[in-house]
Amino acid sequence: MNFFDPLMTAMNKSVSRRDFIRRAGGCSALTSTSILATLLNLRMTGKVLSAPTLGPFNDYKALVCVFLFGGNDSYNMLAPYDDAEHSQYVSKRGGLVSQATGGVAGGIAWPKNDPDHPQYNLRPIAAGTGPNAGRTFGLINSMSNLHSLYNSGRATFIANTGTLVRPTTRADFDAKIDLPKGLFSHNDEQRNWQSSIPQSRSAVQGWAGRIADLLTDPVSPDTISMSIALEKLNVVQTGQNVVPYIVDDANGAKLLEGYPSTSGRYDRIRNNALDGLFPKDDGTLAATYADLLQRTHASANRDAIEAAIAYNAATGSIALNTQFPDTNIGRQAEQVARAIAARETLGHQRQIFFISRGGFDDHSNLVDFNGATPDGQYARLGEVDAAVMALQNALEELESTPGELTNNVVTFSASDFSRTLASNGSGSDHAWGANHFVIGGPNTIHPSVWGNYPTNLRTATHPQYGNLDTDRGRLIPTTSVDEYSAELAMWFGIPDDSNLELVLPNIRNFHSAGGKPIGFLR
Amino acid sequence: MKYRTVQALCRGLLATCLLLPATTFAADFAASSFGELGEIQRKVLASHFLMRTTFGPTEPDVNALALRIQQIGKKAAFEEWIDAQLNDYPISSDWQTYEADRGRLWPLAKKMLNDMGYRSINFGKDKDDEQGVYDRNQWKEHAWWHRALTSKDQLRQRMAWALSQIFVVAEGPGVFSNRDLDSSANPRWLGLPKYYDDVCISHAFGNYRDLLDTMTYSPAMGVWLTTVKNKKADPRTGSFPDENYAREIMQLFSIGLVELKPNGEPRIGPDGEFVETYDNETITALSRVFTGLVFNNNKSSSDSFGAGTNLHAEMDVYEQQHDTGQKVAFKGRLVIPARPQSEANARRDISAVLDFLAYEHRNTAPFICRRLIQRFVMSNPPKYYVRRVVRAWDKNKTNPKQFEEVIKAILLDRVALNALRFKTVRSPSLGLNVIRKYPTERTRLREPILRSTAMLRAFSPYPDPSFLTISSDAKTPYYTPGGPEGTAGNQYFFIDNNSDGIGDKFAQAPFESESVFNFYLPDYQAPGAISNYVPSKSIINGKLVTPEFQIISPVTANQTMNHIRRTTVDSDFDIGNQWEVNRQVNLDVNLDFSRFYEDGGLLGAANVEPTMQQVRKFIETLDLALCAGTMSLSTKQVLLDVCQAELDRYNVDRVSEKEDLVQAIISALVLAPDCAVMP
Repeated sequence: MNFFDPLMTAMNKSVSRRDFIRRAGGCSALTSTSILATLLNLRMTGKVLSAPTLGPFNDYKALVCVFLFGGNDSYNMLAPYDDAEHSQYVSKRGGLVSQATGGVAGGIAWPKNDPDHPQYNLRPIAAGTGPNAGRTFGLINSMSNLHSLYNSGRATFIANTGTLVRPTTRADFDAKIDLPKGLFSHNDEQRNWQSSIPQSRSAVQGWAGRIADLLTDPVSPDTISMSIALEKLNVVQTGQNVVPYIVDDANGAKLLEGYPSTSGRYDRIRNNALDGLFPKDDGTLAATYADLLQRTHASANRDAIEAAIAYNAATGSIALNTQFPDTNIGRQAEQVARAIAARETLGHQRQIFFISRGGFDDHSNLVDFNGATPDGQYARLGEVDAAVMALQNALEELESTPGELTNNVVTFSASDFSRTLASNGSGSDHAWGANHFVIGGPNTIHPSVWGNYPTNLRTATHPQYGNLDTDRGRLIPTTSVDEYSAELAMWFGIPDDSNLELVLPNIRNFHSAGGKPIGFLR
Repeated sequence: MKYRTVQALCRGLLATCLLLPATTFAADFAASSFGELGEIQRKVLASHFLMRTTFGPTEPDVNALALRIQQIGKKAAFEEWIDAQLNDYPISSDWQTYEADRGRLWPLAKKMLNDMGYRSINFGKDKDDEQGVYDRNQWKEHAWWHRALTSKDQLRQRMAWALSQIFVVAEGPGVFSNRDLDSSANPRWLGLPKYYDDVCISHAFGNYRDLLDTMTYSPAMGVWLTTVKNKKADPRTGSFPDENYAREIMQLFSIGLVELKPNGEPRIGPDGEFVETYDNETITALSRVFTGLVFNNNKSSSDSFGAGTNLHAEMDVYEQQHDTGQKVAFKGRLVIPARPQSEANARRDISAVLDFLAYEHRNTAPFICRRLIQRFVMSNPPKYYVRRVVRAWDKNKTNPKQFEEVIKAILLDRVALNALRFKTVRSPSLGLNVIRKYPTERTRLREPILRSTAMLRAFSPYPDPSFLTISSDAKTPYYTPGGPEGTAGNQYFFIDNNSDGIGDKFAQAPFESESVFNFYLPDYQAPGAISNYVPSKSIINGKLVTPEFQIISPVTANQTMNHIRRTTVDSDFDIGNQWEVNRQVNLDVNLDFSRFYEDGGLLGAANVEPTMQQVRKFIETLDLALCAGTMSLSTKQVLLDVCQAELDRYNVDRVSEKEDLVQAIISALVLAPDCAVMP
């Protein structure tokens, strides 16, 4: 492996800035982020382009990442359903959940046909074209909206996906060849998933951030970033130049507190002083601060104060009849809908959102019962289901022509990892390959179960890949997060050339230019 | 004519014409005599120097240093102050020894833990919950803040903070927030303060080669950059040694990516491009050198990472997993011969690399010196300044107190000392103007953490006595009354990075760098006016860099402003209430505003509105305390006008009303460019 050479080669040639960024950026992934900054700032800034590398486009598109923190047990979210496969699943997971008819203590498998407890039964998902054609899978009962979205051609699934440096076999795993750093650890795998550079613990930028870098003017970036994060700063949206604008589920942008109030004495005095110190007019600002660091500091503060007010004015004034669930992720989804509705005011032709739900680290009580209604992961996924459905409803409400927004906004799930297939007695532990859902409009989504879902969960095998089990049902992914992200990125407008390689430095280990990496988007 | 001078003239003219001396600043500082004028000038110099060398000047420190400047002159007084810092506060050679007023974080964090225990009693059950993680992490953060705010060895603490931003190890790997005991019977989370002590505090006045040695064998670094259990190549499985540390020790901890001249400027090769410092063969060779490292007393081929984890003793070398073959690096400049398998030989291999980086490679001195200058003095040191500091570095390569000489070279260089100009104003009344001599080129955005500590230290902070509230367990209360305020002992400052605290707000906090690349990159350049500026020839690469701007975003800017508001709105450093088992405590730090009550200060007389004279004096006091006397006349006027307008329109005579005024003005000033950007 020769991660460092491309940069050095680049440095020894006369290269265009664009090419340089690509190479250095590709490398930044593999080596460091400071290469780019060091070299660009030292020598290349004179040649900086005053326009984004890609765009403008003639359409609007948005990506919404739904991150399930803690490691969603996704083989219980999308389980096998065909009789033989289902019984192998039940066997591997220590039996049916204890409250089900025929369930056992410590069992964590959902039934498919429990006449006494219909609310436990998996919902059938018949795979369409693709590698799993002809098989049926079972969606966790609490995701009823996702089920109907699938049946109306507006949702799709990708199986056994995870962080990989390159295609990895059981033998590679045993020999520890090119494995992601910190497998099975929350922090590491959250970072790996988001950076798409799992071979480095030093990656602090993510693939969506690198997309935003390509679409953003480096000289005069948007005040409100095209990347909007709900509550959490995250790696996936962090780029070299573009960082996410963080908003709150309930209140929108983080306003300067007490501003511009004149009622309280403290705030009145402070606000008057700040108005004087950060003049609103650029000319006055420049005349006040001859020191450019002072001037930049003052304008950064002034712009931050005004941007938050403007953001909240733009998103808050949107009339929205759709009822969002009164949950944290429900309110997050509402903020997304409002920012999409305000896209023109915000000056956004492309938007990337990050919303999340925590609590999926189900070492115990994966399947928890609170009276007749299952708690635990079941209830949590139900919350997610209701939130993403409300977002779809809001998009329909907000679009002026059918499909205008629903076809141009793609919502996709992400998580640290999936969990061990083997039960630990009441839950499951950190693992690797995971199942995910993607939601969008019928013109966008190609509904099926994509990727290679293991054909036998008891033995954790797949005919094409053989043994996928590292131990206890920690599955080696058969599809990489890179392929998953690449398909989203290409749909978003990133050409399948050097641009995609900048966004996803390992992509060519999985996907040669041309065609679709997976096929889940049309 | 300098812009500031024009401005001063205009103000002066305005004052004279309108005959409103009370509402205008005729000069930065009013003086009643030439003697007082000299005294103010010395205080400004002292405050400015202490801004660089401490976590914030305090009034007594400024006065003491100003007096010495009067007695022996500026440079001699500064050197004497540095020497006192180097010599008067020795720290114990035993890493576990607690010292109340100086030194290491680990013994302080351990003492806090011993005194107060973990927060939640039901730990066993909720081992992985959020509260649990918080429990484990808080003490080391409290310890850092306590040292920054109260330690007498301020220069050592500042240098340690600077080193910690170069030789970065931070939260991230789960083991660092783990409360389980390691094989030294200490909680694993104490491994991070142990690293901070061993590498940064202990070597603050030490030697770079020694620091490299400690860092390389540090178990925390072993975990952070994955040298621990780094095995030699296994042809059977096709595995290779981990390249992480091999790469970063070069890229970030010693020589950097491109060849530098001794003045910090990159060399340009015959092809007109930069010359790279190392190639992939060098990385591969070095990765083979750093093989065989294992946790202390854990020489075994066992794969299980957890076994034998010890974050409190240096790593051992397990000779059977060390690559004994010949290594050729740096295009043959470094050749490490094949040696028979033994622990001593493995250590010899590692020493050969560290010796090369510390003694042979000419990049190391300019690479590290420029970063240190950025932490203390300015973002863009002129080449000749870097060159002089590099000379001090080179002369002391084998001096065990190398950094003492380097620090002196940084702080006493004529570029560092030549930042301010003073101008006596005679009309309409006697006064002193303080002028920043080199705006833009020789300034720096102060780190948000340092602005925060400086604001607190300026007002003699003390822990909130409400820590005394309800204590239902047998542990010592947080705050033991009786001692002098703001001193150590049992009166800890409870400031941490979580909760409503610093890390979320500033994107900067001790132990919380996102990665080994620190909070910001040394070469980050803010977009906009700065990137279009064409600096003088002495600036490296003809481009200004502004590292600290990298963590200012529309989000962090508002968060920072909100944090300062909460900090000042009740004259305490309010980080919210924390629930503990059976008790709620206010994690507040109180600020002492007594100086505004004394000597005719504006808070002094009850039920009397402050006079504009008092307000002017108040603003001058803040200038000296928070801006090293370099607040511009226009900023002063903004603050004065705001106060005037308030006094004209509202009753501001009760103490609480006047305190509002004091707090609001402090809040705005801490955010002002005058305070944020320091010459």
